[in-house]
Amino acid sequence: MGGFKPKCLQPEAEIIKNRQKESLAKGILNTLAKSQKKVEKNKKDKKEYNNTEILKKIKKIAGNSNRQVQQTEIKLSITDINKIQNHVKKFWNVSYAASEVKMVITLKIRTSVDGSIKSVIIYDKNLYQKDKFYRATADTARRAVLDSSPLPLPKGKEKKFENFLFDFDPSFITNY
Amino acid sequence: MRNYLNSSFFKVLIFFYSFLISNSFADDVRIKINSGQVEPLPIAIADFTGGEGKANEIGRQIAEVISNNLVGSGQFKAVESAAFIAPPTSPSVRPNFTDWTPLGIKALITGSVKNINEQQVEVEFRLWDVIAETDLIGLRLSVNEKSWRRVAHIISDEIFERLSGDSGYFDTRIVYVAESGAQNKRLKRLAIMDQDGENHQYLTDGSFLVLTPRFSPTTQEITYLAYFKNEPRVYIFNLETGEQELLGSFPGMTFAPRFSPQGDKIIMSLAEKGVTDIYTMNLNNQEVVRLTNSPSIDTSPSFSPDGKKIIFNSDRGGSQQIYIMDASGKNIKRISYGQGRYATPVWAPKGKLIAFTKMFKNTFYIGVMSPDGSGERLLAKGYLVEGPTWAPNGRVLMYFKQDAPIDDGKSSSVNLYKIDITGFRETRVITPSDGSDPAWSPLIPN
Repeated sequence: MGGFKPKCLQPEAEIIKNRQKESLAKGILNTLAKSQKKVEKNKKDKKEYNNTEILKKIKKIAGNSNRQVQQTEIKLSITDINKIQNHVKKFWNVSYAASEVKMVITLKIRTSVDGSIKSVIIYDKNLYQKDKFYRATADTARRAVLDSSPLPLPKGKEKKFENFLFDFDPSFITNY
Repeated sequence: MRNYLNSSFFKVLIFFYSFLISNSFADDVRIKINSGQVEPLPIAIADFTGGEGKANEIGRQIAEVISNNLVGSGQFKAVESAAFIAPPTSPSVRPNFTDWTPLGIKALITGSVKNINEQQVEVEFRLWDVIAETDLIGLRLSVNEKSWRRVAHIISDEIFERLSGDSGYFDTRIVYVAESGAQNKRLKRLAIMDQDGENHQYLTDGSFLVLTPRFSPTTQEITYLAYFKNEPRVYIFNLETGEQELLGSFPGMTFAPRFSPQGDKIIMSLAEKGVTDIYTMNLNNQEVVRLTNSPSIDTSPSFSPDGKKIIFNSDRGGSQQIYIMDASGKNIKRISYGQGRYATPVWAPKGKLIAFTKMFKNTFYIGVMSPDGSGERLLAKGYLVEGPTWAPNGRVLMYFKQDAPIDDGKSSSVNLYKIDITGFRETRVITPSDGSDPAWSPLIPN
């Protein structure tokens, strides 16, 4: 009995082993064959990946841009604008020498959602350096914007004021 | 890499990216601010720090003069130093702006004075924008310590120009007629002082009557009218050399000589045979040219800054009014049409305004109008206000004001005043005695 079992078992085990070997060999061959295909596919995919990734990025950017366009389509009412104008003009303390400035002073503004001013940039740096009247008046405009923080942004339309422009026009100062 | 840069993908990418950058400040939200306030700017002038006692004292005095100058311009409001939270700092130290914003201060001036040797001091200042948290201008000067007052005026001019855009007018002088004594024996001397009334000096001794001093717009020279043995004479006085030159004796009456903008001519009125007309005299060859010829009284002529036009007052229309004409005397046209009588027109240095004296219903006024007569604004009034003169930047006027006579028959006092052209701030200029007929100098050359 004792020698039988192994005998009986041996061939079966061998068969199983052989089958395992065969399947293993087949598996290896398959794997090799598949990996060969994979390498080829990867090369192809890599090319496609490069293109699709860039396209995806462009789409993402374009998508953002579309979203921006959609956001700017949120209409600002005259009341929205007037509210901000009336708020800021209270802080604009200008010298009467500003009557010498014959143009509007544009400031680039960045705000947070709560209306607080993140940055104010005087747009025309060249004129700021060259023209002493422009420089002094642009400084008064910058002070007005910083002093007026936070701006009373219309609810639900705050995104529109993330980046926007103020045009300060000193032409109301006449006869000085 | 090169191929990559030339690839269509990269070009598309650049296009989109540049599109986004250009639109990062999308101009679809663009808000116009077209009104504001013209009010004095709140400023803080900290005492200039100094190492030792003397430097410290000079620093304190410089800060005081700067404060008086800026506040006197009507464009600034100085916050009392007692309210300061932080002590004065050196101009090289960036201030803690949060110490100043609670006081409503928009601009801060810090400075220092250091002894270089026994005579010389180094004065430094810096102007800070408290709201933008940045420095706007700074200056360092090494001067004789006795010149500290002039240094204060120069610093005031720098600050004024940086904050307003306009040239300053603090480093200037005033010549005027100093009056003293009883009404029937009035002593009238020519005197000169800084625009704030300091450094006062008499130029004549009172042995003869002086009237209508006027500064040259180009040099430190004065023209004035003097009565010598009852004969009116026009003189030129050079302030640098102290020399006096007689331009000429004019029979009859001579009035109000005034320089042309180039300083090469004198324009005045002469009374002859009952009529008063306007003449010019060339200072190089003494040539006299008659510009008006009418039976009326034409007087108080003043050139436009470009020398092409002349304004004057005349009663040729029945009452005293302001007229304009070409420098040749042609194309005479009336420009004042308000109620009352108008006199002593003076063209502003920038040419946009004319200052005048107006008399209406027993009250005198000092006002300004455009050269076409429009936009009349009255700035000051009194029993007698007269003789406006412009600061060189055309933003401030000085004039003299006399109060109503007192019941005891004695003459009331006559004093000099200045006012900014908004009419916001009228300030008396303190003089040792009564003063009339002021004339403002151009900026003193460095």
